Amino acid sequence: MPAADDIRRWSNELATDPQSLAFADLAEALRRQGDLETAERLAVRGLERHPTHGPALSVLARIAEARGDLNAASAYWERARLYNPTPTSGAANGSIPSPRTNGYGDTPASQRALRATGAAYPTASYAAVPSFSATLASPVTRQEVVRSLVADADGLLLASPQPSDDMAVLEAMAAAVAGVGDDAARAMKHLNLGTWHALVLETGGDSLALAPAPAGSLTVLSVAPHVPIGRVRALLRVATARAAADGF
Amino acid sequence: MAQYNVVIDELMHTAGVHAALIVSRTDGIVVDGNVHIGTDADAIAALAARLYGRAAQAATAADGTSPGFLHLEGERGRVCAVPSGDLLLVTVAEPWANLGLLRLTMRRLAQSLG
Repeated sequence: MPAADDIRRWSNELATDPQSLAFADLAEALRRQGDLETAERLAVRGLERHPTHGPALSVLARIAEARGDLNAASAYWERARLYNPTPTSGAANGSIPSPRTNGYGDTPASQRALRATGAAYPTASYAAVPSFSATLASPVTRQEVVRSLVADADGLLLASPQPSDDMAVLEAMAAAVAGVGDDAARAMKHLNLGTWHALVLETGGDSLALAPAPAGSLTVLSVAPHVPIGRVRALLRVATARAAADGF
Repeated sequence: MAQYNVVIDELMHTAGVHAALIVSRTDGIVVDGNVHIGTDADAIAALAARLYGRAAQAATAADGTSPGFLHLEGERGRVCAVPSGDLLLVTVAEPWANLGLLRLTMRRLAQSLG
């Protein structure tokens, strides 16, 4: 949570220099404090001056998620990704924070928890498993999305915002979905239906939703059984756009 | 089999559907079906059964429950599948087809098969 000092400093910076990019930091701080209206106003006004500022777009995406407006959220995430082809630097230079720092992410605690699992995962890359922010922001969507992850083409877990005590299930899911993307692509190709963009499987319990991500990886959501199937698709769209904006 | 014909006919009369098949889940062989000219029924059956099997494994890994309706969405069309015992009811439809209606119809017909 940003300190009141930070908010004061960013406010002063903006007052001194209206062209400053501090508007995005300030908007994010206000969003985290729950002042969505002021945060939105600030981000929108800032985007009028800096229309390709990724962090401001991600702030608006999270505000839209918090309001349950998934169409607007996925549109903002798409724009954020568009203006941020190499998301490796922070807000200060106008791009989305790296997934490894996840500067505007909502899950720093779970990210720390994932990193803390390094002992169980001996390689350096596993010790730094990045958190992607597909656990959506609002309390409502958190109740809907049971698990979310990005799995690579070999069935290995790439990223997830879930806590480490869920790691065994997440890894089992990542392994189990390996090849589903290839099969979906093969089916689409043979049937001349173009590229696939969503696969949803209803079950007696949680629904499973998958979408393709770069380099053969998959965005995977497990969604609670009470969630209507149309909403599952909308949640998948947001998670996919969000994972892409996070650099996956 | 008359029962299968009824199911296939109803699906083929759903707007946007251009292939409706009853497929063996275990080996991906067509049991019965109807497709528009130029559509390869054997390929649909094999691909759908394989995809369904894989997705079902993933769902089972997620929460251990049995899979139901599957929907694969592509640029130029969609593939839907729903199980009925050892069989799989499969449709291929245009992107503009009413997915909600198709889903309800397939689920109802799958129950009537079982």
